[in-house]
Amino acid sequence: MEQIKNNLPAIFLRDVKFSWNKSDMPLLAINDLHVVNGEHIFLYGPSGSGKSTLLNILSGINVPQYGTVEIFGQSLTTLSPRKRDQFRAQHMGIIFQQFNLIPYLSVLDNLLLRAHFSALSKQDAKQKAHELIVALGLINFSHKKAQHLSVGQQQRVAVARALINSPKIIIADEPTSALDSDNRDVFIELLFKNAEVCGSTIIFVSHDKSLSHFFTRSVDITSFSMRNRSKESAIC
Amino acid sequence: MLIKLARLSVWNRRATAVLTLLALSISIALVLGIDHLRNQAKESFGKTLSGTDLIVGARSGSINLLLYSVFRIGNATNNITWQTYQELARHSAVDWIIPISLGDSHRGYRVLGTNEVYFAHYQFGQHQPLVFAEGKQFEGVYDAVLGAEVAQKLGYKLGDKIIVAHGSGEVTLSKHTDKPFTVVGILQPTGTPVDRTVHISLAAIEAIHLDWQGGVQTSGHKISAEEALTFDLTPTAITAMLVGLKSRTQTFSVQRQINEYSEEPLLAILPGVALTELWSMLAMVENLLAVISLFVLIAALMGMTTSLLSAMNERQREIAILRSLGASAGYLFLLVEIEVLIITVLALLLGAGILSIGLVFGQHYLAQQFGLFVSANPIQAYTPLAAGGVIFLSLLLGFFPSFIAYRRALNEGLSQRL
Repeated sequence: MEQIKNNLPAIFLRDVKFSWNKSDMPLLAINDLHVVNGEHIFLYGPSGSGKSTLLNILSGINVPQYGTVEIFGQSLTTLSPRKRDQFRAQHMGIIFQQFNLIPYLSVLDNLLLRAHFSALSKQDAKQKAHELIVALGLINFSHKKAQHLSVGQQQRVAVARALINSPKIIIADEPTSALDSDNRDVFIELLFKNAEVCGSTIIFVSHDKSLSHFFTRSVDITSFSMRNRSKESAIC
Repeated sequence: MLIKLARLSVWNRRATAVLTLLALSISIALVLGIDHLRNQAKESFGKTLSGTDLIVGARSGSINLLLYSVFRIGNATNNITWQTYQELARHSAVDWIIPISLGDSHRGYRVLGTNEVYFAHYQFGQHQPLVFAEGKQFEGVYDAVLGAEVAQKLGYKLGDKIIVAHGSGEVTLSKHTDKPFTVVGILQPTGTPVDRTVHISLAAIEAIHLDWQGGVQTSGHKISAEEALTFDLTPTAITAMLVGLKSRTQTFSVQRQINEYSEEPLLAILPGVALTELWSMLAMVENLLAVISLFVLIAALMGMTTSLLSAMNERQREIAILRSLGASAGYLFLLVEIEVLIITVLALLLGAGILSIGLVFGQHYLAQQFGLFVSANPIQAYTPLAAGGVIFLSLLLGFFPSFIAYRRALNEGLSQRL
């Protein structure tokens, strides 16, 4: 398995260009992005600004045609698709906006499913799952099916699941957009508190700039995007 | 975990899964059922006659001879003289001969004239002899022994009087009303044409035709039943003979001798060979049924594929989540194929179950209505192989939804369009 080196930047992107077809205009072009280990980055931008594309690249689902993508020194572009999937399973925790969980599995099974894809042993997975369930106050519904939980509860399970294999990087894609402001603040605090235990780097994507004060650094995704409006209208 | 995931995923979509399962189970029950009936019919067909080494009749086709002598279908082209019967009975290789005289009927059922040798040596199935359910074999001239179906369908019991009609068919036949028969015996069901036969003695056949000539009753003088008994009732001709030999090794030489008999043109056939020959004529119907049931199965499998395909759209979210957790595209492919496997295996078990239960309840009806004796166990030696074939076919068709899951996983990334 690829070794994680803590002294290297958590995320290092250089001259990255991504498009579905080589002839197309790149959907995303990033000259340089550096994230230090343990940083909490707030990535904001309006919808259609290439946020999901960036997340797909960071998580190793898609590979850019040009440029370097390194996570803790491991280049994702040179790994086979299978290795990238394994790398993601091992070192990343991903939290979505909503519908994070497999609805027909119980809370516990959702956590164990995550562990199933990582290198965690069954024994460790069960123990860790139990710890997280207790820590996040989920003990009363650990055997409840995910589809029967409230959105707030679901997001808590999502945090627990992201943390179960102590990931080096947590990628959160608009995780608070379905929550009201009280729940939102609780969620972010919960995420940070538990991420600190593992020392995880957090990439938090949102269109809601008011959240930026929680983070060590904010990055405007439109500053990367080559999609500027005049060019787009020229195509159309 | 993969299997648990597949199992719970199928269960999550249980409404469509159950319908798919039912459609598949029923078609599997149908395929197995048709195959089973085919086998059983073939088997019971082959068991119609047993223990008889040669069937002898006037020269015609072997199938024709088999049909009228054993299945009571069609008519003989010609008769055999009683002298020939006596001569063959004296043959050193011959153990026994059942003489058969056909031509009359009773309410649609064929009447067969024979003698006591019939009850002693006629065998069906695996050398099963005829057994009386009630009464005994005929002794008097006007005694009749009924097959199980005749007695059951027409509601006859011992002591009832029956009238034999001249010729075969159900209506407008001139009847031998002057010489009624008394039911003295009823046979147990055999699942063979014996069940549909009224047995009387050869002497009785002679007696009822004493005052008949060329198919009509002579108008001149009538001979009453009592008077008839005073005549010599030795038959002058019979329709066919079932011959048992002392040693089976002589079958071919006796057959050749009969076929080369110079006094009258005869035909001797081996029942087994003729039965196989006849069955192969029915093979087309048999194959047609098999093909139809196979198409039904394929339609059901395609139904399953369709339902899985349409489920793929609502499962996009699930796929994205699994991908984010680190599931490879191959894993998702496998997940869908395992779902296919779960449904198919359940359908196989359920289908076999439905059929077995159906057979347990249908057995009686089939035996009563069609004289077809089927076992309740449809599992054959090759059934596991056929089940493997069904599983293979379903996995092959499951390739489509699985491949869509695979491609989605690669292309759509983590985006969750709703």
